[in-house]
Amino acid sequence: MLSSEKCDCLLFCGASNIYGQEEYSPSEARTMPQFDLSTLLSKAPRDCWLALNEEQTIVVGRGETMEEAVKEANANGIQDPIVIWAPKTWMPVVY
Amino acid sequence: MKKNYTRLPLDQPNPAFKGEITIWLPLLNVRVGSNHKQTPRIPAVVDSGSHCCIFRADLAEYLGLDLKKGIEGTMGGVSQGMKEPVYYHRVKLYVESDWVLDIMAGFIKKLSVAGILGRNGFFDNFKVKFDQSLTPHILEIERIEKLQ
Repeated sequence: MLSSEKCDCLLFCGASNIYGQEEYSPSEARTMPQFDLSTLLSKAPRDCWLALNEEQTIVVGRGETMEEAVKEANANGIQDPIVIWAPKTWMPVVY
Repeated sequence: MKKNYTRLPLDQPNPAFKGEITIWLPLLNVRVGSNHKQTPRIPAVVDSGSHCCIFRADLAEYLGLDLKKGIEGTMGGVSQGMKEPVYYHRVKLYVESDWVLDIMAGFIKKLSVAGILGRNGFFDNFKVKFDQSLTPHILEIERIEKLQ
């Protein structure tokens, strides 16, 4: 587990202007919804994996490993989370 | 397929760009697969500056790959001096639930994002268009149909 304190509310919900995922079919041109994770992730834990719900509005799991984050998401009812790496510092990076 | 860029936070406002406190990135949700196992969906940066697809070593661990049994190489960043060992493995790449690619991908321990979609493996399979003239910016990809 992370050495830093664990949030007791579990779910970090900071974004309000996020649209739901739309259904789509393969090979068909389409416009996906816009995802603004800036508020959510700025308040979320760092240097760990975060599991997000489908709409990417809530952090439903976290862990030092992907397994831990997914396991926590599963325990919170999210079977197929989107898992993102949260670095220690959010900064512009040239990859 | 068109997709809007994703907005991520910046801890320090960028003084060179009107003090912006967020950054927009072209991200696609992908899974990496090997040995009949797949990772969860991860957001990966679409980056024409990267010579291949690169993922954090955690993904190899998740898939049960023996990291160091891959083809070993060295990778440097844009900042001189930093070099990291990279291990290449052949994996399946699932792009946004629509496409499955068989690619050679690098796995590296020190990476500030979960994954990067680079030229070998991604750009040689998709026509990619970045449109930053609009807000939000738009990423468009189109699968290249290759003759067998």
